Order: sequence, then C-alpha cells, then structure tokens
Amino acid sequence: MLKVKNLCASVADVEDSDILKGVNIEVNPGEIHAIMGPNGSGKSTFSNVLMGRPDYEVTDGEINFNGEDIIELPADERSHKGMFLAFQYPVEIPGVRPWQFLKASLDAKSEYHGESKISVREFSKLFDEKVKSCGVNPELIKRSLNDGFSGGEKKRNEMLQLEILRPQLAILDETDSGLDVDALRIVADGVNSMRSPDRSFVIVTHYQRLLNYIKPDIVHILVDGKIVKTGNADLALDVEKNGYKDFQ
Amino acid sequence: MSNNSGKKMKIYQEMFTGIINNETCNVLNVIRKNAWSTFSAKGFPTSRKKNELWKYTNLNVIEKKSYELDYNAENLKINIDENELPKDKKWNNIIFINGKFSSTHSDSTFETGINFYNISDVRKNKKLSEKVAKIAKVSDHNFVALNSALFQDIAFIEVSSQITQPINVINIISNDSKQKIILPRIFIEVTDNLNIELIESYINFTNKSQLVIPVTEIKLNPKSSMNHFRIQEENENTFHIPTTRVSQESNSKFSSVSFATGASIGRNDILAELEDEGSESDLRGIYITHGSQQQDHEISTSHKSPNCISNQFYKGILSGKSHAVFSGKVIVERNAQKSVATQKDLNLMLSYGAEIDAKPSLEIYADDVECAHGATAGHVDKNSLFYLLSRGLGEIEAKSMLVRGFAEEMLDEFTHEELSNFVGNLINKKIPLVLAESDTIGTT
Repeated sequence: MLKVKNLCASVADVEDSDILKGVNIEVNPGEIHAIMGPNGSGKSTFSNVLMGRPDYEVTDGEINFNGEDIIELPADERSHKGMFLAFQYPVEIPGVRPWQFLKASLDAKSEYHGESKISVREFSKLFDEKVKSCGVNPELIKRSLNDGFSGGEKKRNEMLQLEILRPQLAILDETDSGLDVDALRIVADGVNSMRSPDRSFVIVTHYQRLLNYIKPDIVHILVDGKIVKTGNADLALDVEKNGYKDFQ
Repeated sequence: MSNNSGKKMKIYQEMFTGIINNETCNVLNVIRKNAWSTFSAKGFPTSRKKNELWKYTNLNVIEKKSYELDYNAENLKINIDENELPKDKKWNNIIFINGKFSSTHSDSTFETGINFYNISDVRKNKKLSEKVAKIAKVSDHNFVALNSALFQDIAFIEVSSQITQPINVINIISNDSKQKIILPRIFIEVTDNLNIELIESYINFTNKSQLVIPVTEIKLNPKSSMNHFRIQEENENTFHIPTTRVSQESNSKFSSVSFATGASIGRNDILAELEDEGSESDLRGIYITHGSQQQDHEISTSHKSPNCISNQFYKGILSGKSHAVFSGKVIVERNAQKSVATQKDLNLMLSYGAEIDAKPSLEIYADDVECAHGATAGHVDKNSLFYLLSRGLGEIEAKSMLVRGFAEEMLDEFTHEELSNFVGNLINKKIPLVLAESDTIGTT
C-alpha cells in the first residue's frame, strides 16, 4: 500500500536543514506500523511529509501509494486517494462547523472520483451516528472546529473525522502527546474499531504507552532521520525499558 | 475653504434654498436653518487640522463630485426582485427609495402598536416634529447638519405596545441616471417595557457614485429594549456616511449588529448614551473591504450613570489595498460607578497592501469600574490551511471556508433566518473578490 524509499526531506527554502536522511518503510494492507524515536529524530516531519505539508521539501527518494508516486500531489489529492493525517495538535478553527467541513470533505472526494455526492439527509445520519459512537459531545461539535475543545475532545474529533472519511491509510502524528489515560483510550478505540484487512495505520509516537492499547505489527526506530531498527511489538517494550540510548 | 469647495457649496446652497422654501413646518424650518448655518460655515470635515474624528479619512473625493437631490423619488416605480432585499412577508416592511417613503412598495398596514409617520404627517404634528434632531444634534458633526438641513422624508416610528415582528426599514438606492445625494432619516421611540427589533438596510442597485448620508435617532424609554440590525450594501463608487444616535433610559437595552461592505468610503458612526442606571449597550459588526475601499467605524459608548454595561465587538476582513478604521471609544463619567465595559476589534488581513487603523480607547473618570479593551490584526495561518487541505478540501474552498469562518460568529448575531441568509449570501459573494486580491493566506 505504502512504499517509502530513501526518503530525504528538509525544511522548505532553508539551506542545510536536512531532517529525513533516507527513510525506507513498506506498509502492507491491514498492517499497523509504529514509528518511534527520540525528540528531534524527524518523526513528525515524516508524517507531515507523507501528507504533503508544503513546509517541507522532498530532496530525494520516493513515496509510493497504491502503486502511484505521490510526491508531487498536494495534500487534498493525497486525501482523495485515501490518506489521512491525525494531527499532533489539531488546529482550532473558529466559525468552521464540523458538520459542514466534513460534508465538504466528502463532497470534494466524491467530485474527485466522479462519484455522486452524499445527500444531506444521508450525511446527517452518518454524522450523528459517528458523533455518538466516537463519544463526541454533540453540543460542542455543533459550534466550531476544535475551538475551545479540551485536548481529549480534540482527539475525539480527530477520530470522528477518521471514521467519517474512512481512509485506506491513517497516519497518527504523535497523537498521544499530552494525553491522559482516558484520552489515550479514545484514540486507541478509534484505531481498533477501524482496523480492517484493507486499512493500514502508521502510528508515530515517542512513548510506548499508546502501544499498550494498539498492538502494532511492526515497530521502526527512527533516529536522526533514518530508520535504525525494525522489529515486532517487543521492540517497543525494549524502548520503554531502556530508552533510545542503545540506538543513538 | 478652497475655490472648488466654494463652488460645490453653492450647489448645496441651492438645494437648501429649494428645501427651505417648501418647508411648511415651523419646527422643521428652525431645525433646517440652524443646520444649514452649521454646515455652510465649515463644509465637509477635513482630515487636516488635527481633526481626530476624520484623521484617517480623506473626504476630498466627495467634495470634488457633484450630486443632486432626487425630487421625484416618491413617483419612482421600480422593478426589483424581492429576493435582493432583506425582507420577509411577516415583517413590518417600510420601504424608502432614494430617501423618500414609497407607499407602493411598503406594506399597506403594520402590526398594532406601530405608529408610522412620514414627513407630511410630522409637519402637521408639533408633538412629533419637536422630537426631531434632539438625539442626533446638528452640532454633532457636519454630516448630521447636512442631513438635518436637507432631508426630504423621515421614517418616524413610535412603538406604543408590544409587537411580535421586526420593523424593517429598507432604503433602496435606485434610478441609475444621476449622481444623487440621499438623506435617509429615521426616528424611533420605544415605550417603556417593550422589546422590539429594527432592521435598517441600505441596498444600492445603481452603478453611479451616490452620496448617502443617513441619520438614525433611537430613543429607548425605561426597561425597553431593541435589537438593531444594520446592513450596508452600497456600490463601490458610493460614499455612505451615516450617524446613529441612541438615547437610553434606565434599565433599557440596545443591541446592534452591523454588516458593512460595498461603499467606496463607508462609515458606521454610533453613539450610545447610557443616560440612566442599569442600561446596557452591545454594539457589534463585521466589515469586509477590498480594492481601494475604506470602511470606518466610529463607535462610542457613553456611561453617564452607575451600573451600566457596555460591549463593543467588531471584526474586519480586509484585502487588496483597502483601508479600515476602528475608532472605538468608551467614556465612563465620574458618577458612573460600577460600570462594566469591554471593547474588541479583530481584523483578518488578507493582503499585505491592506491597512487597519485600530484605536480602541477608554476614557475613565470613575474609580470603581471594570474595563477591558484590545485590537488585533492577523492572517490566516498555514496550519489552519494545511489542516483543511489534508482533509481533502481544495485550496480555494479551504481559504473560503477559513474567511467565512472568521465572519461566522457575527453572522450568528443576525438572529432571523432570512436575515442571516441574506447577509451570508452577501459574504459568500464577497469572498471570491477578497481572495482574488489576497497574498497573505498561509504565508505565516
């Protein structure tokens, strides 16, 4: 599904700002990959580069999604093709109502694929159903996108978006940072309920604790812009015990 | 006074002569003469000579143009799509065209409790005419003086018992053939304990430059309240310089929200005077400018008695080389103890060429008060933009959604669905124009 080869990236328009220095991973349908690494190793850059954030420039390598090179595609097209990024810090956008925003997202995707748009009635039904199943406060979600939401509420809202947009590949960018145990469970429940043989996840995290709730198939250790070790779920437990010092 | 302005003053002098010769009401005659002598002495305000009120606004362009009064406005038959007006059949619709009351286009009857008079009624009744120009004083500034000297008609409204539907005064500017001076005038008084809604709109269907100078006087008696909605949709060649004066008795409440767009130079000048204890004033609005437009907000609240609450909250969306001024003033007089006042002006700068001059100010002479103020100018940041893009929205749609989102909280203040749809559509029409001239979105 996702093949990343020798991916090198730097901060756009800044010389000598290389962050990713040749990352290789391959994610197959249905797999959950965890990418762990110390602060400053390039984890967040990696998730943002996968989604096409214009702040970064890919200087070398390939990102192949379902057989297609997507490096030149803007973020909205990557989304249409089935990619999703859950943000470390979901942006607060006052005045933009989640209902309208998600309807517009689905409509844009339908238009891109030449499909008919979901009706208002059908979408409302889906929205209400997912608001309920994700445990999102229905009063809060009427108002604004993340504006005035607590950390946990923002993460619930990310999971709501994930469940409505139903991507093939979801990237979670340090989505567990700053979360208490209850909020961690929200994220984990979201991911676990979405697990399916044709959907994959890339979970970027500093700590092993999220992986207590979501069991990864493969764990990669990213240090200084490179994957230095790949293993199974036990590798995360080693990191928990010994930290990253053995890899640096 | 320059030669040019001397020549132009002659044109206004001729208008005044025409009006005063036909003024049959003694009370209005005195008001007009007094107003004319005030206006003719100084002419239009200038931005020179440390004139703080007009510091950022150059009115020379107005002086350079010639305008004429529309003497036949009441006979104008116009063909306008009702959908282009902020209107609902249920409301009490009072239509003025080019400053004159149109009985053809207005509702034939209004709800019980609304006493509506036009200028011919006011001329015949001293009790009515004596109320004119008491709240918006001729000495206030020269646009009030000019309107008071030349106004051709008035919406004089007394609300004497509780009504259920808004009073909707629509000022249509029509008839494209001439550059006109239009002087809409509203006086409205609300009896004790009544709660009413007033919609005041200015909808321009012409392309020519017009000079529109409205004066609105609002009198709120004890324990009465008014929700006031103001819509300014002029064309981009027009100058719209209105004055709204509100006199509030004890425990009255005035809430106003305005939407301003369109004009070449537009202004929204409100003074709410909290005369007696326990009154509240809540002034809000949104302005959207692009091209070389200028929109000023001269917003003042005067706390004259103890235990009053006031709020000023305005938002602006600026693009192109447009210019906006927010001059918010709260005055708390010495005896106005326990006053609570807040003041805020937030601006979304969509282009580097746009300019905002925000001057929130507090003049406090009492010692036991709670006051806060602030102003900001910011951009649509790249994080917000990327967030929407990552969810599949195209760049234009994402930017539109962010700009609209900024306006949304003010749109919510237009509490009638018809009104909020009307203003929402105006905002949607403006968004492509402001985005076309935008160069800041996502750059920071």
